[in-house]
Amino acid sequence: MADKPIFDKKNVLVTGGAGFIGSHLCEDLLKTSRVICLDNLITSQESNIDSLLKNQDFEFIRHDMSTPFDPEAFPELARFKIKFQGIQEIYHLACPTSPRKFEQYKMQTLFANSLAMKHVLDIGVRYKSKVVHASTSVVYGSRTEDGHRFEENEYGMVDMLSPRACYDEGKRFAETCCATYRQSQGLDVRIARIFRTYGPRMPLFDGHMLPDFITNALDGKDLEIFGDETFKTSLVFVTDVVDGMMKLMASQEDIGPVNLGSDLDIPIVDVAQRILEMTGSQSKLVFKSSLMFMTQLGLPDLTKAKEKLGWIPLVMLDNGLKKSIDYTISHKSLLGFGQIR
Amino acid sequence: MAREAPIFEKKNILVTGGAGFIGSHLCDALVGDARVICMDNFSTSQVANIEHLLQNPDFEFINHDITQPFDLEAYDELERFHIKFQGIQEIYHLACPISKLYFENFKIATILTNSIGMKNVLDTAVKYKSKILYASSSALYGPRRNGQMSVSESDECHIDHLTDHGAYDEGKRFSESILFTYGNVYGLDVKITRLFRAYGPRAKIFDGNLLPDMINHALENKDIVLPTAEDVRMGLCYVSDAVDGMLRYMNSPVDVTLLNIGSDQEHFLSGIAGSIVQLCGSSSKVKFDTTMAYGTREAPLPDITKAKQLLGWIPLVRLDDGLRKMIDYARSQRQQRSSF
Repeated sequence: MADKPIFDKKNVLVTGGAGFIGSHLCEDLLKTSRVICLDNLITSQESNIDSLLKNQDFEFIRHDMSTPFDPEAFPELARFKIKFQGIQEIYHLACPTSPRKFEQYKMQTLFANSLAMKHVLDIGVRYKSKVVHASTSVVYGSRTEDGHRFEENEYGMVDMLSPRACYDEGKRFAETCCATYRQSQGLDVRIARIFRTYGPRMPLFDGHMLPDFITNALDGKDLEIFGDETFKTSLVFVTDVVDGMMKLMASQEDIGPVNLGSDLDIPIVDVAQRILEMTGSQSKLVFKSSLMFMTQLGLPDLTKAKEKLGWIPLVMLDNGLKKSIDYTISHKSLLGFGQIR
Repeated sequence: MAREAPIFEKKNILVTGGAGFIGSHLCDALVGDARVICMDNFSTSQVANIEHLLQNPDFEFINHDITQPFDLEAYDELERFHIKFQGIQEIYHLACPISKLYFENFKIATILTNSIGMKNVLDTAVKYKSKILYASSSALYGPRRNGQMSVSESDECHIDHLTDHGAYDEGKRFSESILFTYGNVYGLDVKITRLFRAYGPRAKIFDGNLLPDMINHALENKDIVLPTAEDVRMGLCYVSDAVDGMLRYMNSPVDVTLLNIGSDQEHFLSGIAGSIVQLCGSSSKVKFDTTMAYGTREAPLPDITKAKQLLGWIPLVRLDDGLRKMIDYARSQRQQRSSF
């Protein structure tokens, strides 16, 4: 066991590594590290990491983190020499996030935020790893009327007896687990509060709106908005979030939770319109009743991220949308749209 | 085979944390009319609290840490309860480490109890379709705010989850969420009571708590120095009243998920201290020190309108009567301690 790797490359564990954000993170980490990617593929997809599977520095293990994980018990990880090299860093992203199938994954969500969190922290203690926990803007509760931007020291209003509690309150509890392990085990664990993120590999047909806007615009189908004209959101491009998480991991001091997101509030209809323009689509916007797990989220105050991490979101909306559209076009057949469904 | 109604005349009831302060009084009240399985790991509770029950054929103690899975049918000592056929009709879930002096030592155990422990207990409830009542805490409401004296069940809970005390405060919140979600997903009958400050015999006398410390000082004729301003007030609910509220809640047909149980009678802390001095026949003086770090915030009182209306419950025991019993208990504890 070692705090520093004996050889040149760090061993990094990414839970939820086959998810939307997790897969981009794995990709970036592979430039400098060896990556062990864990995922149970319930709301993520193996296709997200297909291109990484051949990389000698990458290993995917299908595992549900709500059961304990012993990295030394897997023969496929032998070349990472974990017993001697240890695990230097852990990024914990595993948690079901599906607006459409929210009901179906309630129990898994509870367990991801408790059992899985514990197992991750235990691995952190075992290898004295640094841990970055991917938390969320929902810990601040709903957005306030006046477009207030949440600072990290606020704790908002979350109803622990709501149908969404397994996620909202669960994420709060997961943060408390991190704080408690820091306090009583001395574990170096950092908390990234991630706001609404978009980009390539967002799950399709799952209620996330934006990726479906793109496929439907390309397909000449209606763009469905779950809500009305007043639905506003901030959007941060996925590579910016990945960059923020890595900066948080690299930061020297313990700076407490950090907001990673965009503080620019945009009506979702404007985003939809922009997509129509960029794709030259004739599709129409239609409004559907809102989904419990797809709400206007709060907005971040980014002062801390700027001052402590030197981080700001860099990718402009138009560029991010263009990348998302290009990705969708090039993966058209793989993504399974443009066909009867 | 799980049964909602017992075949024989007596219900099987599981009490987790049954050797604790409130849990042991609850076991006392249940035993006789029901068969009681008391589960505890003595992490912050004491065997002395249940010693008098151990010979009772309707009582069985299981030494188990609820953060580890358990199967009640696997215990030989529970054979006479015929759990496989009789099922478990009710679960009172009170287990959670609680210690003012040694909180640090129990932090990890506290978050595990409030997640994995809760899960294990609920899995048992799912297996036997038991009704379950969870003892939550008034800590969830946070301190008094906006001059509002009392809190009702519909009030928002506003607490920071990243403090040194998050393992307990936030843990209890998450426990409520787990319970609520299980109720939702499995159609369980779940009840949450937020207990406010309770007092009485078997409250820990040597754990740095406000009331026991006052009693200790009075019995030693030392000055009672309160870490508060002179006008601080609090509600105090005698333990048998709290237990009575929980029993009524469990047995009420009313479908209510959340209920405050505590006393809405407010007492000046200085007055409580004065009563203690008097009841102890002590020469202690009561002083105030506002520079001390903890305990200076006034906790809110419960709004117990709901419990009154739905359960016909109100706290009955007068403060002086309750304090007298608690002082007697403290005396005996102190004697035992000095005889070692």
